[in-house]
Amino acid sequence: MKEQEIKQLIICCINEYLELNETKIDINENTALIGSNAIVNSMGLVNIIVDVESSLLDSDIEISLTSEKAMSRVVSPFRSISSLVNFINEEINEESK
Amino acid sequence: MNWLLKRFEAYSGKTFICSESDHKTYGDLLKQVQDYKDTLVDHAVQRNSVVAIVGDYCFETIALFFALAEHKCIVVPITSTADNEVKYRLEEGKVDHIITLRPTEVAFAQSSRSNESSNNKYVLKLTQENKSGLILFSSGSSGKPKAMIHDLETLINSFEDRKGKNLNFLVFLMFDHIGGLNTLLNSLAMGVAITIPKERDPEHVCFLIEKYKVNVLPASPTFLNLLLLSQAHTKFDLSSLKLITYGTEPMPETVLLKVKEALPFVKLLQTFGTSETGIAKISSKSSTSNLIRFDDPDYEFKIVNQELWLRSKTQISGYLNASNQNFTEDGWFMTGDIVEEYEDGYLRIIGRNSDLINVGGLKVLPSEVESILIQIPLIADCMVFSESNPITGQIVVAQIVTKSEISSKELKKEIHRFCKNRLDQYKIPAKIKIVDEANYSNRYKKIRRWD
Repeated sequence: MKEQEIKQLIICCINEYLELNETKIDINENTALIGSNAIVNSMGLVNIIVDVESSLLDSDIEISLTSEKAMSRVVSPFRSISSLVNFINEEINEESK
Repeated sequence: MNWLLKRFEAYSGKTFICSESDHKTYGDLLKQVQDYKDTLVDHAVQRNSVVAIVGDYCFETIALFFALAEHKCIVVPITSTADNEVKYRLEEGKVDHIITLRPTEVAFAQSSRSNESSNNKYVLKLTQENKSGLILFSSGSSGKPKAMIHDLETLINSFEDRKGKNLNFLVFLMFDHIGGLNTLLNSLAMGVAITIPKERDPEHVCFLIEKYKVNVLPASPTFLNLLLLSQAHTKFDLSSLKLITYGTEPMPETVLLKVKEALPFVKLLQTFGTSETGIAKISSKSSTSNLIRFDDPDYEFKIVNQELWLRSKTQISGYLNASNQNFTEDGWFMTGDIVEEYEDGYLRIIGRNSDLINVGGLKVLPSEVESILIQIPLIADCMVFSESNPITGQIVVAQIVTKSEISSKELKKEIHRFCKNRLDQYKIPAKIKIVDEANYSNRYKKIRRWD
């Protein structure tokens, strides 16, 4: 899966979640999922993570976004959409090694 | 328990068991109890010894149960068929003799530890008082099954006030379960006919109700929901049914209403009890309400931090293989059941302490979420439980049986749409798994975990 596709998949999951909760926010690759600028609360984050994981699974990619590795990173994968794209990309490359 | 044998005599011409292979009267039962008492002596079964009956309900096991009670033994009913489960119960119960049911006869065996008599203080106390006892095991859903010891005499005597009736009861709950024994003792004290199912699936149960004109069906909410899903009630004539009692787990109001709609001529009553305290006399507010009220002079109850505490005349002396940490020093049993209080002393059982889900410090009751999910038209059945999650500690997950095909992604959207105005955000399942059937035990009780 290409970086661009991963990004699209994440944005799609976030948009669907926001839509369900009747929130309208324009998102881009700098949009934060945690921290003071986060667009969602912790329940939103949990839901988006589960949705991204299951969407990846639909493409036969099995990655845990709440693994020890993801949670203990100095810069959290959830800091921004682009950092989440990077994390998933790294994990996919690691898998295929 | 002399009174009970006298009743068997008084009811001697009445039907006791009807099944495809058997028709026995109360007279047959009384004779069999007397015969088994002699058999126990022939097999050198000492008074006050601990004796396991391995097998489920049938004429022989029931007669043996009362012969052993008469012989002042401590009875350990075991219905498991898995060798290791049976072995565990024989060991933990410190059983002296094992009686195994073979078709139409019973086989006696001494346990390997038969010369070393039990030195447990509760067993010794029953021996000193020359009383019979009963050992039941907890389900073990939270750890190893606990062996608990009842004073069987007191338990049996608590049924003495029952009046004679002409009815037919289906014995749904099992022989080694307090609810099952409650049905049995209740039936025998009233001299009613009992129907014993070979299988406990909805189709077979409905077949038996039609064939033997069963009037009373004790069941679990999970079983009743499966009955509705299978539509078995539409294939058989259930018009003989007068009463369905339900218990062992919380009843979602939506399921209760559906049962009433499907079987409008049936009265629905909740039962409540624990293996530790016995079954209490309670009354349901109505057939369509899951509110209950304790009406039992032998029971005291109080609510501490939303948990139901009970103290009863029929409660256990203690555990053989566990500490009495669920009991306070002054004898209150902390049931682990979470309840809500309503006007006029009514209560609603809403779940188990151990099933509570902790989402970022906020408590979620699986039954509350399930009662909402089951209202979604495309959901046939569901089960809610927790999964650990590093962000919120735990998250709410749901196993769903759907009525028609749908992707889990679409289903999750549907669920969130439906729940948004009905549940707080943290209670809405974050993870959904579509399954063919919900995970329930062979006792038709929900098992809240992924398998």
